[in-house]
Amino acid sequence: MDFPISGVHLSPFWLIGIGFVVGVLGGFFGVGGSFLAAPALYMLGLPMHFVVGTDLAHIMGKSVVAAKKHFKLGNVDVKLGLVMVGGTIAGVELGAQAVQALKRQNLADVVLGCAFSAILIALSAFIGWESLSALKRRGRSGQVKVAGTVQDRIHFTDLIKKARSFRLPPYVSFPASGIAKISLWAVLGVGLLGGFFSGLLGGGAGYIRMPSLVYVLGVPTHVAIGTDLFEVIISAGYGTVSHALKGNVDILIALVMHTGAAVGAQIGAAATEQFRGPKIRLAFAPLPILGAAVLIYDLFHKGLLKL
Amino acid sequence: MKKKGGLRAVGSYGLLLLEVGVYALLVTGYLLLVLQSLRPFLLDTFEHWRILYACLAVLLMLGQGFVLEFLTSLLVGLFARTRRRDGRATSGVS
Repeated sequence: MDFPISGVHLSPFWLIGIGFVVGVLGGFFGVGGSFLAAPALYMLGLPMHFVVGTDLAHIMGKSVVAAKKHFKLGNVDVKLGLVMVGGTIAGVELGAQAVQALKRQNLADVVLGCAFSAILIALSAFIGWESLSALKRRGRSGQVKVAGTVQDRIHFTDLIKKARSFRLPPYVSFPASGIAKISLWAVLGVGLLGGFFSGLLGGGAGYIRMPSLVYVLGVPTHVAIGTDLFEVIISAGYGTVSHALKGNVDILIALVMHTGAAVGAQIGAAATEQFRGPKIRLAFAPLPILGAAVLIYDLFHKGLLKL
Repeated sequence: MKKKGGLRAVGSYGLLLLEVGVYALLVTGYLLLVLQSLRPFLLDTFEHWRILYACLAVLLMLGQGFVLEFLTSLLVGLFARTRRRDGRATSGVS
């Protein structure tokens, strides 16, 4: 099938297949799935700047499906999601501007590819270590008290304690996430970080935001998944408009991918009911490495990186 | 008894396959009719009216998101209802 907007010829079956896989993963882990979809699209032959924009559009549509499902399951903290929006949008715009700057210098493919791979590997290692440590702490229930509120069993709580004790008014509370009092700036900071990576590397940046919600704000994993999807809709929606204006979105590719993702997202979201927080995080850990491996292979295969 | 259970399981999976088949047929029709006919229009807006293209991109994704969510929920619901009915039939036999 020809896609004249980006000027490529791609099989719709591959696009639907990729959409289905990232749909299942997105529904289950609350992430956009760009850590797999972006390398896969790049491998199929889509230029990197189109990968970033198109992936954002596809993720927005898919997240609507998964977020609706999570909302029904009571996993979305709407107040937290809305408060984070300011930081997220500012971050997306910063990231999109950085992509434009790299495009002007013809460095987009190499820099974005290398940065994306490094972040994905670091993230995998950290989440794998943390969730294994949390699961090893036997003899306790599935939850632990952090700063007076009941949370998931988390091994790494240093950042949560720092974020909760950050003293800069105004303060906000998120009862649905078990947060009694936290500085608004800490919440906006998490939104800004996720938004920046969303605008820079494409996708909803759930691979950054979901762990940030758990490890920085101390949001229970199930609520982090649902709230992240809610945030992904906003950040990916804004990113889609921003990148479409800059000519980085092939909406036809996104629409084809989304036909597979719609089914996958429903299956993934329903499956979260069967697992506890640390197990979901442990299952998530190897996935970013998979995305990084595909990306690194592509960079070498296309001669952009040499040994 | 085992044979009956096995036949029922095959029936359930057969139904799932049928529903996936129906979904695949709908998607193929959608790809051929809607996307093919939208292609020249979207290319034109991409080249000449970028703001309109950006708005259309968001609207199309959201619209397709809601329509496909409705469609898949319907199919998954149908499948779950059939499974429940089969389950009740099994317990009745036992």
